[in-house]
Amino acid sequence: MHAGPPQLPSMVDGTTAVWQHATEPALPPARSNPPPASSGPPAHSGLGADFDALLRHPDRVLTRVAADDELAGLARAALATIAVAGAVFGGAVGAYYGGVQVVYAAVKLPLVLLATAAVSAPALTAFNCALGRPAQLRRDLALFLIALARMSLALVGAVPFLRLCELADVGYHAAVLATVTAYAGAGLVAVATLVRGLRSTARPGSSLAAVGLVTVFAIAAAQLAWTARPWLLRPRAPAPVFLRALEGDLGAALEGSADSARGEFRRGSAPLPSTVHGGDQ
Amino acid sequence: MSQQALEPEANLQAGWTRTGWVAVAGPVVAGMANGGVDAAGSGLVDGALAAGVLQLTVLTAMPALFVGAALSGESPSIAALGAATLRALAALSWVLLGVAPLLVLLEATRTDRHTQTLFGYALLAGAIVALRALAAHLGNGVLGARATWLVWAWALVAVPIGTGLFQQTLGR
Repeated sequence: MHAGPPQLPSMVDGTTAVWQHATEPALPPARSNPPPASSGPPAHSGLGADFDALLRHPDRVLTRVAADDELAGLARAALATIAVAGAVFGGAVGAYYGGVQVVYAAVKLPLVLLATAAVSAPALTAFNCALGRPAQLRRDLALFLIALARMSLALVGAVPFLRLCELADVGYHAAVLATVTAYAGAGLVAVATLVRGLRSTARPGSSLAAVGLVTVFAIAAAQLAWTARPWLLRPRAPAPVFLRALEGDLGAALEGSADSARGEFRRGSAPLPSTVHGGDQ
Repeated sequence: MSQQALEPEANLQAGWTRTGWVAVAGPVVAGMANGGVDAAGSGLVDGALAAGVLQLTVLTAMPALFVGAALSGESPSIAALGAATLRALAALSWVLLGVAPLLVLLEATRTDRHTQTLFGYALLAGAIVALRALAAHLGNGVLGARATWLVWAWALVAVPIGTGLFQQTLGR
């Protein structure tokens, strides 16, 4: 602790207790001493502030959701984030084929994310009702939009990786794997946000609700993304298509792939590659 | 039944109508989703069957609650036990309502087998939540600490009956 004029406030043990006893501090507080949460920037003062909070202060955002504080502003920021960030990631995925597929994928991905919220948010409300927890569809939907907005931001973070894969010419299947990995990883960000949001309410049953919710969310997100294919589009495809015809669910596709890996094929032969982009990637 | 238990009993019976509607709505909606909303009549039949099976399961297993209560030296009223059971059924129903949109999504992909598998898991999860709710409501003054024991006795009767009934009616 320093002594003598001018008296500088000490940072003993990293606490702010000494500040309260120091008079007329000559220097501003050190940056290593974090301000209390209540003295931070305004929690909500427009779309930009809400977006900043979504990105940098998830706990503050979740506290606002639990307190039902200005949910409309948060929802607007989350929707805008999903629309823009989802479109960026979708466009990057569609860029593997190029052309109008970029637009198709950029339009589809935000819609898939919003449809995921539409399917999963009622489940959260219902599970809360079943477990005797506070249930409100409006608040649960806001929580989902926030989780999906953070997932969208994580997806944007993966865009350079995907572009690098494409530049490195890793091939179609490796690019598909990279895309699925990025999507699943971003999904974990959403799951973490949802679980934190559930636990912010100090009521029993949050673990059971989290298990049920994550199960519904994972199935819905995966199935909707599967149904909205194609995303990358094979290079040999003659022309982009917005949506494929229904081909069953993701579980059936995984079973088919597992059978093929064991040498049990369900069709006589694989479709022959064309020469649109040269090679079967 | 002690005087102390009378107040919780009154609380249990409050909101009886709303709870009853929820208890019916969940199986109907989830059963319809499972049966396929696009199949004319089929989904409605499945929904009605699911609701009927769940109500029948509860009615069939109710005697186990009374026998268990008698064996444990308690004498709760029929209304108290009935209301607690209805709350448990409503908890299961909420779970089914929650997964109904997902069932519709899967059914729309025309993969009946996986939709039915998910419906089965939802029923299982709902049963767990229902037993938890039953233990909580019975333990809330109606039966006290013996509630857990009684709930397990009830589950031993209800789960096999419900599973059998569902396999007979909706399993295909």
